Amino acid sequence: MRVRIVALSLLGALLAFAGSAVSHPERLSFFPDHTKGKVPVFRSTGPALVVCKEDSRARIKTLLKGKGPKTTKLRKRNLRLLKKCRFRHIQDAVEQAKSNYRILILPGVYKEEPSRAVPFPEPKCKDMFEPAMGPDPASGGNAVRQAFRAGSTAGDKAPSYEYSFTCPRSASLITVAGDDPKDPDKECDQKCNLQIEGTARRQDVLITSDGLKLNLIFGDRADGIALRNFTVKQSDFNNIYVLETNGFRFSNIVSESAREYGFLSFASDNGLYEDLDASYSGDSGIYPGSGPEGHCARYGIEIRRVNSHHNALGFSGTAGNGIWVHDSKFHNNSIGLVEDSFAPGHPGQPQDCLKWEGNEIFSNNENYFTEENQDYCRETAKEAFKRDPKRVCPVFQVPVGTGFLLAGGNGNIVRDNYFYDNDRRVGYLFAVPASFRGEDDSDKSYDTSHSNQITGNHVGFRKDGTKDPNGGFFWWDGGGQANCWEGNRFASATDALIDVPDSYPKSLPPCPKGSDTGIPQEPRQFAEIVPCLAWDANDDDFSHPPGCDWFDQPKDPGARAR
Amino acid sequence: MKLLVGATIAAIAVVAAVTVASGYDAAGQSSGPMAWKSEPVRIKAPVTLPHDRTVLGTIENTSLKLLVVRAKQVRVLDTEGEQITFATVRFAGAPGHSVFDESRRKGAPLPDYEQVRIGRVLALEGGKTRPLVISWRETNGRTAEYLDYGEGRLALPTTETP
Repeated sequence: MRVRIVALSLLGALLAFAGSAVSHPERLSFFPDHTKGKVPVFRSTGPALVVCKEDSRARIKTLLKGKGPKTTKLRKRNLRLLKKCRFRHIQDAVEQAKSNYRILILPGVYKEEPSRAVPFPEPKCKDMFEPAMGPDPASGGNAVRQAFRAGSTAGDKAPSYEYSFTCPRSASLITVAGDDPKDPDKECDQKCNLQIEGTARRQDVLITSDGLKLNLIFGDRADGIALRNFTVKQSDFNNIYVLETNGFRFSNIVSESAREYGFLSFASDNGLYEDLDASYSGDSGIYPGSGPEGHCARYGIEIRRVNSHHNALGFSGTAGNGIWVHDSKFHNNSIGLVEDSFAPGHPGQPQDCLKWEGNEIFSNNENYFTEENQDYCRETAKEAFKRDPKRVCPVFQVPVGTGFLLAGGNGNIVRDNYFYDNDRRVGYLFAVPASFRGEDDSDKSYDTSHSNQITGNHVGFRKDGTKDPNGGFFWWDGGGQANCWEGNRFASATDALIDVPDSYPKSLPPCPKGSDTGIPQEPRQFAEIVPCLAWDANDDDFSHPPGCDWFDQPKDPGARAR
Repeated sequence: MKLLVGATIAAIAVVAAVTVASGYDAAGQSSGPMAWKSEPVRIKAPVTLPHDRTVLGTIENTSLKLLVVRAKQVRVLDTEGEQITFATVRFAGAPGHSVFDESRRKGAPLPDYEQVRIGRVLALEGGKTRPLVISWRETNGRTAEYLDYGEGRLALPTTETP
């Protein structure tokens, strides 16, 4: 029993650990009514506004030269559209658009200079801030109130919806704000079902802020927004971002060098991410956070044919619920995928009902936590826009060399994926008590890390059958009920290695019954990860804390096993 | 005399029992309001860092007063009372990083409640408990024996938990 008490108290420490993505400063958000929305379908007809640059004609002729029928058709279409071009900046077109419009972007580099000229915060909107999501300033209870002077616990602020609506060029290069704030329904009233698309290949249209704007494209209550066929680079926060949006679609887009997130959706539903390439993000290439609230009855966001690589995290999502990720690749990140329940202020916790299925998760061994890289990131933190766009500065600590990590999730399915060449191990699974997400209800102490199924995965095999080992299979805290592992195929003894509490048999419980413990059993188990709590990106003393080897490059087991 | 011998034996037995019950060899005694609520564990891990040690446990504020301690001001001391500088202290029960990106705060400190949540600050009412994690690297055989947190000292187990 005493061991259990220690285990429980230490469990809290676990939370501290790893990295998911919580440093995005949203306002306190709500979930849209999913029954009122749907994934948008791309349209090829209907009202359209055309945007171009001075050199678009030259680009069309240069980039789309060739005599093949496909290229010829594309070139002719672009030249026809050029005659209709009335805008030099995308945001100018957005402000003229009405619901169901298409905004067609001809080849060019779009720096959106008029938006860049608007500061953040913009003086006329300076009072349109509200409490940011995050810990409740009252969450520390009496002790905190007694310990610190009144007023010292004021929380951070985030721009309100009214801010987005009134000052759309301030925080973002391009903002689609769909809700009319005069009515209380928080639903899209104007600029709904907007379609913003490049008219050529995705590499022919580039939208960039050179690191100067928080967001490049921001859809705020922009129900039905559909984006495709372009490249976005170098936001100071999110390259593509939707919030409280019912129905959205990101298709055929390249996203590079976001300071934090390549693609981010938050408190949104009826979404589709498809055919995306996300790289060089300081946090996650792909981040569907907070919801949708399907609770295993439906998947509200689908993610398919995504290639996420060379980010700190290939994918993450605090409270990323009801998401189906399939036929995608997460590779050459520090860690492939993370889901968690340990950040206060994210609606929808505890996280549940995600499905990772049929993906390739491999070679997640990029170490962005070297002393040299962390020194560089600290030195450039105040002028991050000057950073080399291909230098990744991690925002959170993660165990380099890992396929995936589930921290405090329920009812998740990890099925039929190919895990290979992740040099530390394939996965982590552990519980997170409610207090760490700011809920002090003692009835919720053990409400996470149940009913997760890890089945039918191909461990140490590439998709073509070639063996390419991982450093091990699993780290599990031994907690939770009905967690189960079955039908996983291992290429080698190394791939089958597991790390579970000493009191457990050296095998993982099979499905369907799975585990039958409610709480973690063995505090020793935590020693590998708890010291990593102390990592701090901004403090040289804590860039590589003692007792933590997450930032040491794990050995490639390939030579041994191949 | 017989009584004295008996008392001495009894005292030794008590000490031994306490030592066995606590499960660690606390070379010194704690002082001040911070005490281990339950048996801490001392672990040599991970295997890739053979000189690193971690103590994990739960502390209690045994006083009636509020106890406020900032992790950065806590000193990890060796058997000679010298500070081990490559050491970290976190009053866990809080994430190790903030929901606020500190690199963007231009020197502004995190809100106090957030520092408490992520374990950089302890604000503990009398009788309440909180997890504590200490890690350090041993060099030249120097191992941690105490935490000096200003208002007192907390003894650490000096041998690895079996």
